Amino acid sequence: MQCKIINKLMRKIFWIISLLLTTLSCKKDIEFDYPLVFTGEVTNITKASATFSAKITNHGKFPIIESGFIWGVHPNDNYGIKIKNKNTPDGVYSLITNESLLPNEKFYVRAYAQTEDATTYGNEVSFDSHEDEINIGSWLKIVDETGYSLEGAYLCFTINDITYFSFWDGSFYSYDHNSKNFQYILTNDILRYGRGISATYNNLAYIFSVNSFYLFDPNQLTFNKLSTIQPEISFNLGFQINNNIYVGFGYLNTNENNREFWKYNINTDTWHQIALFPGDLLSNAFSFSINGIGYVGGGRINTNWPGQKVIDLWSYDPVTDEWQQKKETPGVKLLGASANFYGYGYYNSELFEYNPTFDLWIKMAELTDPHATAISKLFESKNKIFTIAVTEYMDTKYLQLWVYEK
Amino acid sequence: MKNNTIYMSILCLLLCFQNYNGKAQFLDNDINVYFGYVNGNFHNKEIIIEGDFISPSLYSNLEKLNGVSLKALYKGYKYFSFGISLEKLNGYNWEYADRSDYSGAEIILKSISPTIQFHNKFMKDGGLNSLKFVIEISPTFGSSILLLENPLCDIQSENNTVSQPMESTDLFFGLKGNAGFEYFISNSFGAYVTYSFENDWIKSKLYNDKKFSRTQLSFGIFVRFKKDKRYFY
Repeated sequence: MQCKIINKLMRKIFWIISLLLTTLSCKKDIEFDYPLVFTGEVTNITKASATFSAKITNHGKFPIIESGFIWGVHPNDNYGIKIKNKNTPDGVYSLITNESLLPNEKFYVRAYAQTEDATTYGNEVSFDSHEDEINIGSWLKIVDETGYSLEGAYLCFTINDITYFSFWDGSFYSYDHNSKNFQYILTNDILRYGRGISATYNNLAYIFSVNSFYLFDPNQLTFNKLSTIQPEISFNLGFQINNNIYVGFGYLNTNENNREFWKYNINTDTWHQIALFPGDLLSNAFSFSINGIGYVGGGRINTNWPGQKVIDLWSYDPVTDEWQQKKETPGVKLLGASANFYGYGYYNSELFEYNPTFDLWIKMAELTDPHATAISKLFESKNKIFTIAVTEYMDTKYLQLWVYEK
Repeated sequence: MKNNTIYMSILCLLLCFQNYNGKAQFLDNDINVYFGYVNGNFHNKEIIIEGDFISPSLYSNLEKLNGVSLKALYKGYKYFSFGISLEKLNGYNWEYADRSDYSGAEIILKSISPTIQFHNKFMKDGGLNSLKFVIEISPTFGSSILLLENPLCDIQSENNTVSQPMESTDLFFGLKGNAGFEYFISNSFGAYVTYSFENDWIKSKLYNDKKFSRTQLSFGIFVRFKKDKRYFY
């Protein structure tokens, strides 16, 4: 009798176990259609580099066409610096940074795997770079003269070690960097109605005034009008990339603001409209170009005076004809220029250096001079940054030039 | 600290019962059904190293593990019983350095274990009439469900139609060893305390752990069935 009960019970237990085991084993793994990638800890952090590691745990249904890491100084930045694998890895992979680390910064890295229609970014891992003193450079006054009756520099461009300046009254001066001589050249209405846009190419200068560029020959001291843009727009801002000058934020001859950007080709003397600027219509913005990319930022929204202050920065890539928003600028009323693969913004004695690789502004040496607040132009010459100030103190007008060295 | 106090109180209670129960005589029985509370900890290294790849472990960095267990044992012989045990445990409170990979995530472990229990012989009188020392060995099969609070990966598509992976169910298997004692409160009920060590193997796409280990303290009550209704005088 007891054996029968035991047997019956054992059978019941057997069936319960079988049922439970079958239920567990039949539970299917959740399938993921897209790649899954994990970012590992950052190792071998030195002054120059660091090693990133990652693991792809799931390839998904679609082929991976690109994988690697995206890193930089901003968290969750899809436009950071990419390091790509040569081949699609199966599982664990590691790569060394492709740019030197900046000191005293927190860096962020994510592994990524890209299919044709989606990109998977892994978890973000941060690490601190080495601590070190930053070379903030210094300012040197190179011209300090009186006797000139000038107001605000308008144009600045350099040809063969000579920088040319135009002022509000249309007067035109030159500064020879070798002889350190500052002298008057001429006065011209083209310069008076100019908009502060100039570029140099093959030892000639291109100066925008009213509705077209004028070709300035420093040997003949002549201004020749080039093709006029149609419809007529009087642009306010521009930057040069190779033999193209990009201009924008102008006024139509009906006094309406215009948000279009145009490209003037020096070789063909032709105008072409480029992609519409996606940000606000700006006035008093700054611009510069670094390594084939144009940058526009700062200023005020040019809809009604005085307009809301803007600290946005945008980049323009002529290859893709696309604008991309970058990290915010450190100020609104910046004067801009670029030199030696860096951008520079100046406002009220403070200089900021823009690192385009890391999309980062770093404060540099202050210009501690009583006249520094009157600086009206930042310009580049021989891969160095210069400023010019025209000030009046106790009925005396001063003309001063500084060079920033690093 | 709070848990330790509870365990110590239960232990003292059981020992007190033991002291005041000198004259009672309990019946032997064949089938016990156990209901218990489980509290444990994950072990192993906090990081996982695979070549150059170093990442924090999921299981080893879960600070809390608790749940319930159900077990049925049949006493086949004088010295051992066999049966089956079921467990449902929850792991949570993931913490590792300044990383937040699995912060807020929860693990649900469901397992089934065919169990063999070795114990002392039932005595008609004395301390071992009401107290049983046990050692158990069980192979374990189960599923581990990971529920994420924040997505681990960020899958971005042009039209943003891809849903982020937020959970994963993965099977595991392992081996578990228990040691403890059971105390008969009456002929129908008893209480038990066991301490166990378990090692499990697993593979998942949402974490890199390939195995996990845990120690658990279980306590609860059991119901005694199929009593041997013979008294010894």
